[in-house]
Amino acid sequence: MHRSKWGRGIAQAMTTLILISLLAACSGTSGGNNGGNVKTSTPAAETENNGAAEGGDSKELKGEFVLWTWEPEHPTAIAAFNEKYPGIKIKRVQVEAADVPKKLQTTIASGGELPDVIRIERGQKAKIFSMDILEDLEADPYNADRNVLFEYDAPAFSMNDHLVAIPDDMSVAGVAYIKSLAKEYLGTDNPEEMEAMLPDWDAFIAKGVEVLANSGGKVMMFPSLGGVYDILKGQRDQPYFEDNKLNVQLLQSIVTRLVQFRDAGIVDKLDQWTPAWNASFGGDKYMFTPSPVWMPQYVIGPNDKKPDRWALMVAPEGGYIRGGSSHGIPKGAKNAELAWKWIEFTSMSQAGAEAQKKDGVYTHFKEAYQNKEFSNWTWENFGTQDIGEKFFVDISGVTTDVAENVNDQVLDEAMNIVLQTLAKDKSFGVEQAMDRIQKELKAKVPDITFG
Amino acid sequence: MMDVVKRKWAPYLFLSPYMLFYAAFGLIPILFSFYVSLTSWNGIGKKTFVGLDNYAFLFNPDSYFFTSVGNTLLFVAVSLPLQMAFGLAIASLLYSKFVKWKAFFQLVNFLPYIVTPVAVGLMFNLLFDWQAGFVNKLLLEFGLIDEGIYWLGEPMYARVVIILMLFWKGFGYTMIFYLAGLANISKDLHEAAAVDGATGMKSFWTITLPLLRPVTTFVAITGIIGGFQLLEEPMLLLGGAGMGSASAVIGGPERCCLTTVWNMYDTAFGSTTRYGLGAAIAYGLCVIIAVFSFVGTKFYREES
Repeated sequence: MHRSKWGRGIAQAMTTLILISLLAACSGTSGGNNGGNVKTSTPAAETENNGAAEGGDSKELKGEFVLWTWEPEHPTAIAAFNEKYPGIKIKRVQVEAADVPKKLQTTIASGGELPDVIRIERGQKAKIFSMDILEDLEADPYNADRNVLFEYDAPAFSMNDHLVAIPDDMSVAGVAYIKSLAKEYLGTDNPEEMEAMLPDWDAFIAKGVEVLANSGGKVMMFPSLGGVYDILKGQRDQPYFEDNKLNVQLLQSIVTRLVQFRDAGIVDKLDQWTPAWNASFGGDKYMFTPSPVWMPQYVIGPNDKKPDRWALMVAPEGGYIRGGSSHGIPKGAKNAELAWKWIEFTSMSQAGAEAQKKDGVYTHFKEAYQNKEFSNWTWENFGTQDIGEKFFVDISGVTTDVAENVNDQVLDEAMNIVLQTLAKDKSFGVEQAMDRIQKELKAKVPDITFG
Repeated sequence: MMDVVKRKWAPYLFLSPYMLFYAAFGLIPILFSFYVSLTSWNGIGKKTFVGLDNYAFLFNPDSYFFTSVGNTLLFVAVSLPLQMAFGLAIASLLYSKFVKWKAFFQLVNFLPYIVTPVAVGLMFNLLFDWQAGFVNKLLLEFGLIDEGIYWLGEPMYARVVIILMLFWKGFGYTMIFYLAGLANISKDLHEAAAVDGATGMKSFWTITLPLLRPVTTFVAITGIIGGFQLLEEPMLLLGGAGMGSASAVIGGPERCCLTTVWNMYDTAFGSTTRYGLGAAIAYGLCVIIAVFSFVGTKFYREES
């Protein structure tokens, strides 16, 4: 009897304890927000930070801001930033590029706390912008100056004509080619002569057919139709969507061009980012490849160990943007001013540009490229060619970019189906492709109209 | 008086931790997601009440709901019987006197089941890669094909690969249940049958198989329910190797491998953020699983 009383007492105590802890957890939201650390700083602490920021002395700024990123740390840039702002610390939270929108949504839906800066990959940009959660960086207290960036940056990183993100790494793109193949089949491997020979895609396709015939079908122009679409899409001079209205004529012109490429037989059926596609860079089967700024470092270099095989040129019909990331500050970020100092330093200043260059990143700070010494960049695969000048002067000078909205992501997905079908089915033409795209878009976003 | 109060409230006090847990992490999310299914919501803006519009859209010809249910049913209908037949065959073999190192072979056959779905998807992606995959290389080497088969780009082949993957991963699981079932069958029955002149095959068909019916029913029910939750393997298999990949098509070529859960995930968290429609798909799936569970349970009771 005595033992049973004890047992009952213990059981009751345990139950009460569990109950209390549960209830405490349920009411944890308000308690959590009043924690004493910097991330969850009290209004008083915020005022302190802001006051220091307004003081204007970079040495006086103190605090820590939270950054969501997938990018490895840029040690030189961080060291340079810390030298200028010794009191500002960065707390990095690892979030995969594709997961950023999801993590933002779930954080907002659950009433959680957003970070002070988010890194935004180009593929996720439209979706994140459409959430309308980013600060206008041209307004107080940031006052970003869009003139320090390239002209094509403004439409791509704005919402309602206000910058909401600052691009970080350059991603202008041209086409790279294997010099020996160009010399053999086109008679020259000089980039400028190549550009003059291939001013537009009609000329490119015509030459491609010749190359295919002269090589006995062994040499093709591109390894993947997906790569061709990346270029054509990047070169469009208007957005695909105006709100929910798809510019059918624009899309059809691009699909028509894709079909021309496919029918000419000058593009192989490799899927991008597969082992076979990677291996193709070390071979002699494909003369050209789309080449954004990151291509030599991250794709060509690791897959082709032979030096001085490649050259870079402006793509027929001009430059385009492929990939790249930017940084934005969510509305209500607690340490927004500290975060802004970091963005401003790393992406919008000469000192930041120089430091980032040492980490292998070229920023969008336009003025830096006026110095030939700064823009000079050679890469083993490209021999002695100054690909920096080609990218940041020649290609950048003829590059445009357009705004995208959330529907572009849905269209990208529909285009993946079309590209896959085009590659495997020769009877799949423009009309079928457009029908397929409309069907896919209707299934995903019934509000889309076609005009 | 105190005793009466204690007797009245004590059960509730003891039950309250579970009830609170259930309310917080079960009931409220269930009710909330049902409410979300009646709204148009992107997770950030205001919820707009749309009544049953999301459910009506499931029946719209543009919607992929029934396509995804059909795909899932196909995968379950083909892969589950294969898993069960092969699992039973392996279990019978391991249980017989012909096999040595039983524990080792049990482990070997069960290992695929404990491989994480992500690894399974990626592994099969590499095996069946069109240009660099081992399977095509082998077929080309033996001269069985002239050109690599576009395994993950053709609807029929992609389905075959998924079924193969599910079969490979799942037969070890059924094998374990059949082994347990076989251990419960009295050896006397087989010995008596042998004395009466029954062959091994005869006693398998007339004794072993009928006595394993409860196990078979259980494996079938859990297999169907599990099959309807199929997501990671096809997603990793067909999700493409990276950005811009032509193979990165949601649901594979022609959406032939779009499962119901994948459709829900893509609608709510993937290429669109239609939480309302995503919740409606989830409830649609819930109804289907409930129907199968109900029918299955009925069978199971009858068997028992």
